[in-house]
Amino acid sequence: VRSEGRPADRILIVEDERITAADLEEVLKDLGYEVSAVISSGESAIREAERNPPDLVLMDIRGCCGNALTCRWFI
Amino acid sequence: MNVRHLKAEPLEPRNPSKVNRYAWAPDILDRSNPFARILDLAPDAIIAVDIRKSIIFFNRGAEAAFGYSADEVRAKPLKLLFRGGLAGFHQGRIARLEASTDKAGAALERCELMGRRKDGSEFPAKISLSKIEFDGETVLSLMLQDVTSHAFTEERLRAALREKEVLLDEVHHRVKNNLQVITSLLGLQARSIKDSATRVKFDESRYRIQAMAILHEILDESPSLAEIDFADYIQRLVAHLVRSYGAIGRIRTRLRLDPLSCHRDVALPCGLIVNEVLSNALKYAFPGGKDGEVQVELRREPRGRVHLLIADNGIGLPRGCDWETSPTLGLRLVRTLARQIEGAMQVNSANGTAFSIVFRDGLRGGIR
Repeated sequence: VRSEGRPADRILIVEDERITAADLEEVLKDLGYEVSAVISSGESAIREAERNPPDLVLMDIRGCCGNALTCRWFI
Repeated sequence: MNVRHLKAEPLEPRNPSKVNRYAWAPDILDRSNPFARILDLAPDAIIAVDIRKSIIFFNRGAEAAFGYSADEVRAKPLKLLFRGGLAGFHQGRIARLEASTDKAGAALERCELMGRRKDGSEFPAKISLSKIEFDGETVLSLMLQDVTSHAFTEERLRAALREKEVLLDEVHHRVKNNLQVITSLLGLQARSIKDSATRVKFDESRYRIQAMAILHEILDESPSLAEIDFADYIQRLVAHLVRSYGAIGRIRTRLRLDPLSCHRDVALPCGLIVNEVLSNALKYAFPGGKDGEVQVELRREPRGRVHLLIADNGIGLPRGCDWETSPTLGLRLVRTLARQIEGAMQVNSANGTAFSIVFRDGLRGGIR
């Protein structure tokens, strides 16, 4: 739970299963975080992270993009 | 018609010194002899050489395999027929074979090497080599099978097996993902429910499915398709439950896990038992946010048996609650799953609660 008066940490979710992503988004919001975006592919995640830098990226290492580790380096 | 028996020419009188003689052939390899004709018609290549390794018999199978006619190889050295000459033969064994006193032809050597055809192409061959004595003359016979098709079949089988493993791997990955989606669906639904008791039921269902998903996560990561690193599974499961019930920091976990594997058909029901018992402890054993400890022990026992203990130092089962008859879903599941893995279960509620179950690991043809 976040302390009041402080801007919430911004989290970018990269997940190709949209239902899993939606659930994760609600859990994070319940915990007081801000979800900056929900992205389903690694490439778009890199673009999104450049345009709108998050504090944290949540990403499955073996996800849809297959090159999540590479993305990690870019982001 | 080829004459496949290679009656010597010139056939010198029997010379005990065996010098200068080549391509001598015993009468039994004469085409007029029915035995020679049987050999001639055999589908496998049959070749006989004299003591100097010169060819004295070359049947139709050999003609088909090597592309030479019998006449072409008459009295030619055997090394003509193999890649690298006779180097592929184990010379020590050949010498032993030649030196053996077994006259019945039973002394046998087997090897696999590359045959070389007349056109220079090569093929894998399985060869049995025996020594036969005819009237004091030594003849080495080679029975040879072209195993190209075996090698081809083997390669295809290997490729099919690889493909199956990749597919199975993909299935585990899909199952894990699908279980994750089911969990998320229940999570999304649960969040819209106002009644907290109903919501709890949804959460409990979610944790059960997650217990299954963790098993598939391990299968997905593991090289084995059936064996589960059970200690790893228990460890992940316990961490997940303590986190899910918000008990981190309040409830200590003490794990004593022998490194051992279980068949997945045993690991799954077992994981669900751990889920039920531990969930029960985390929900009810420490009321009013009290501190406490849960303990999970996994011990390897003789003859493929495993002892699993799940205990807490909380308030114990409620008075009058008999785990063997209790109608609550959690305990019903525990009883049902214990029966499924033919486990012997005991519950001790003297000091906190301790569930103890002994079962077979399901490997080596145990329960399925």
